[in-house]
Amino acid sequence: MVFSSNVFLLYFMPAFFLVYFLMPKKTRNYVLLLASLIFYAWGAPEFIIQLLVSLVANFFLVKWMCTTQDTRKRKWLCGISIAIPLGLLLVYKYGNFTMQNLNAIIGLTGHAPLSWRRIMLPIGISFFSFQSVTYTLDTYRGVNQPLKKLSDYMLYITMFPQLIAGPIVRYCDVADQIRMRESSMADRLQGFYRFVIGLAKKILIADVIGLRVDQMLGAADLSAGAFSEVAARIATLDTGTAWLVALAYTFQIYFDFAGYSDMAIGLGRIMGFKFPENFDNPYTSRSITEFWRRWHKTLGAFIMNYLYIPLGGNRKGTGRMYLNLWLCFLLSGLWHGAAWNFVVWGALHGLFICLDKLFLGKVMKKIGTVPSVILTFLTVCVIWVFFRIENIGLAWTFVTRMFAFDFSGFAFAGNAQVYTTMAIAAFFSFLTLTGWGKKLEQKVYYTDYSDRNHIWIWIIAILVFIFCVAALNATSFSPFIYFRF
Amino acid sequence: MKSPTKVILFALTAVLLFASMLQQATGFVPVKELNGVTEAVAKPKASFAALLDGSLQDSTEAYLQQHYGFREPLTRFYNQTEWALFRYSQVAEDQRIFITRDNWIFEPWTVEEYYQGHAYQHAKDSAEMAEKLEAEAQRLLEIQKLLEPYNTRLFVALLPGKELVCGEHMPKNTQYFFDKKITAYDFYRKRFKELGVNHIDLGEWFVQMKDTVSYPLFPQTGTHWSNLAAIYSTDTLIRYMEWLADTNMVNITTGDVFQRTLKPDADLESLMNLIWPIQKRPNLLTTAHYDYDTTAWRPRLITVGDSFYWNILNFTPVWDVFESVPYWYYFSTVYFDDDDLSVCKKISDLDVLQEVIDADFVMLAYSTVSLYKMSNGFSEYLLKELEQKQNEINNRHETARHETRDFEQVSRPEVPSPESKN
Repeated sequence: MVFSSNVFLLYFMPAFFLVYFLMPKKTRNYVLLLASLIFYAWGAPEFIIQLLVSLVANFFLVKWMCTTQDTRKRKWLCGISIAIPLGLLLVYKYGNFTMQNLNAIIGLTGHAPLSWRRIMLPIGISFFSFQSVTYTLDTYRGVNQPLKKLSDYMLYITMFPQLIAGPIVRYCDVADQIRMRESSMADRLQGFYRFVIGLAKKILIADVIGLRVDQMLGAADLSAGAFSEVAARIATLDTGTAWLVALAYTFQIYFDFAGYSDMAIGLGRIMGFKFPENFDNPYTSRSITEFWRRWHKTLGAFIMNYLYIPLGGNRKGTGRMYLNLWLCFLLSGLWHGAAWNFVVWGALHGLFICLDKLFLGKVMKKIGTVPSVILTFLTVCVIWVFFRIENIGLAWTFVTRMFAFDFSGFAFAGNAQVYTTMAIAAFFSFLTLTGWGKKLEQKVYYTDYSDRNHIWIWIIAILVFIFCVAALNATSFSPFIYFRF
Repeated sequence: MKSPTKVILFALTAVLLFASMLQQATGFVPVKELNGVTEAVAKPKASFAALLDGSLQDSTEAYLQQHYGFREPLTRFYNQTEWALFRYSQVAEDQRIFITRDNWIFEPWTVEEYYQGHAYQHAKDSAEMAEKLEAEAQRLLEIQKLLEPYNTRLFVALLPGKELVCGEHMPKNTQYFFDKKITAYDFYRKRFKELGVNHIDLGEWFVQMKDTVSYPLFPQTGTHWSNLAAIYSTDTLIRYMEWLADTNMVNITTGDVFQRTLKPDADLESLMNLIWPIQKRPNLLTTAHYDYDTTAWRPRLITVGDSFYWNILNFTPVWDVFESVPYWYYFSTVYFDDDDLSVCKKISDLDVLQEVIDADFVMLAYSTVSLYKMSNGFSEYLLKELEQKQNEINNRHETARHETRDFEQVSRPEVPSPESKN
């Protein structure tokens, strides 16, 4: 189940909140846990048992780890506890990828490939695996006490607002809120507004633009037939079209992901949770380093705290620091998807971060805000091509078309709606570069409203919500005039 | 202390979130159905296996998408907003319809037909299509001859399509720029003349008169010919039948032309499911009455045709002009059969040959876009039946000749006399 679906918006969400708020406070965590399990089972019923077993095992392992005094034993238990979610992640997310590459190598030696059954990827596994790791490590490091109740631990991992697409909520950030939280009427309303902002980002911007991107580049997982068609189209793409497609995807992915994070944060706030922010106007960054401080912040924080620093960070010399940075971004790329294009995407970001540290950061500072923002944005835009197009050769062809300066046949399937949506996306992406834009953001996202403002914003939020529901369904309603004979 | 404003707003949010479910369950607000045909999603059947493999979830989501409360007004609200802001319509995006810059709407196959491509979408190449059309023309000629002894007159009414008459409004820069080929309409009008197949070419007539008449021959956002066009064409068809049978039939007269802005003929526009209709010229309508004449012949007319004939049935007093008017829609569904006017039958329920022999006229009424599939198998079926009947008659004659050579009257053909039908 995804948030931008009828089932969620018109059935699951109203029913859940009704039951949640009608129940006594003490029982609300159970309601939320049950709803989260239903939410997950709806999308991945075959994986729910494995998930529950792994959660139970991990909970007791961590509990055991915290009660034991033997340091060596603690380390072992910590290792096993981390190995369980990461093992699941490795098997389910990277099993197919590993076998494909292994068979490719075996094929080079002239031997018959190994047979294997393709594994379905359980939704949200990348997120809840990482959350599980933060729980183990935060308790191991003594940052927080382990949860006393199994149900609270299961709730932390499976809580439906952030289960599918984050933000990655570190245990230390919500440990207290799981035990006790308050949600005022203002929280509930502002949570709802935040949810609606996210829904609009997803449905009214990302989905509208995404439709055109898919028309040009095909679905993310191309079939063999579609691949040759898309490959032929990309090979002859004119430069203007290539840039427009890349720009469209740049906006699509941001509004899609940021929209989903907004919805998660909003839903959490309705219940009294304060989830960490995941995006901070990433396209206004003046360097790739800054971009990563603003893009998917919770992943950045996770990598920094649980990978970069344990690897030594910058404490073991300059050379090691660059290696650590590279490794972190390679792994970050691989975390986004089990394919080589994601590795390339991560490696390119890692490369630019290293360059920033070497000299580029200083250059960007010198050239001024607007040029540095534009250059960073265009760099990100080009690198996104490797994220979107799974086949590296094809992605490279696309990038070469972006710089071919061949303006012979503009072929972007745009219309007034798409261009307007892209303009709106650009406006909101760069809004906070201005002083009044920052003020507006502050007012909308982080200020408590007066009662009068609540009324106005509520009316707008309800209208936008209704329009989003209408858009979600109307775009799929395409009737025929008569039955044809 | 809790702010009452916030409490009220939160309560209202909850009520609004439940409104859709409530509407779905009770239908407490009457809503207008959406126009157009879509495939209905069946109510999902719950089972543990379906739940486990995810098919229950998929079918439930599909079902709810089609049945959630307030779907109809919300869809119209969205469509209207998209149209008002961007001139965007999902049905146009999906090429169910083509909307031109001047807000004329066409079906995709009329655009294909205009660019000489439609018939050829249904054949391997132009030679194969020409072969098919020639075979149809030959069959019709054969049937025409075979029906003569029964006094049943078969003829083809070549009805004009919107693309033929309103070509100046056609969308430009579509993908339908095919090499110029001969259309089914051009082929038939030429070959029917050469072969002597009975036919009346209303298409040519429409093209000639389109700049001289003050009323629209086709509605801007509808697919079929206008009410006025159908009425004047019916009058012409009656005169043609009179000429063909050399007799006097009941005539029709038309009333004064009047404007109607409500409920215009806009079936294509209706697919867009907007709240407010597209601005267009008011619909001009008239009514038709039959001239009371007891001496006039009221023949039986069978029509095999496409949906253009509906406007003749709906707007003209054909029941007073003809004794009966069964309509064999695409030679598939039978409307207005003599036995029971209110029941629609399948063609397989009829004795087609007997019905045809009993009729005075059989009209194949197809608009230019549908001509490539004219008769929908009727001619093949009927010709086979007629030939079989002819063989039976010949065999019987042969047998009779052998057995009773002295009695010539035995070998009289089994053909009903014209008087028996008239």
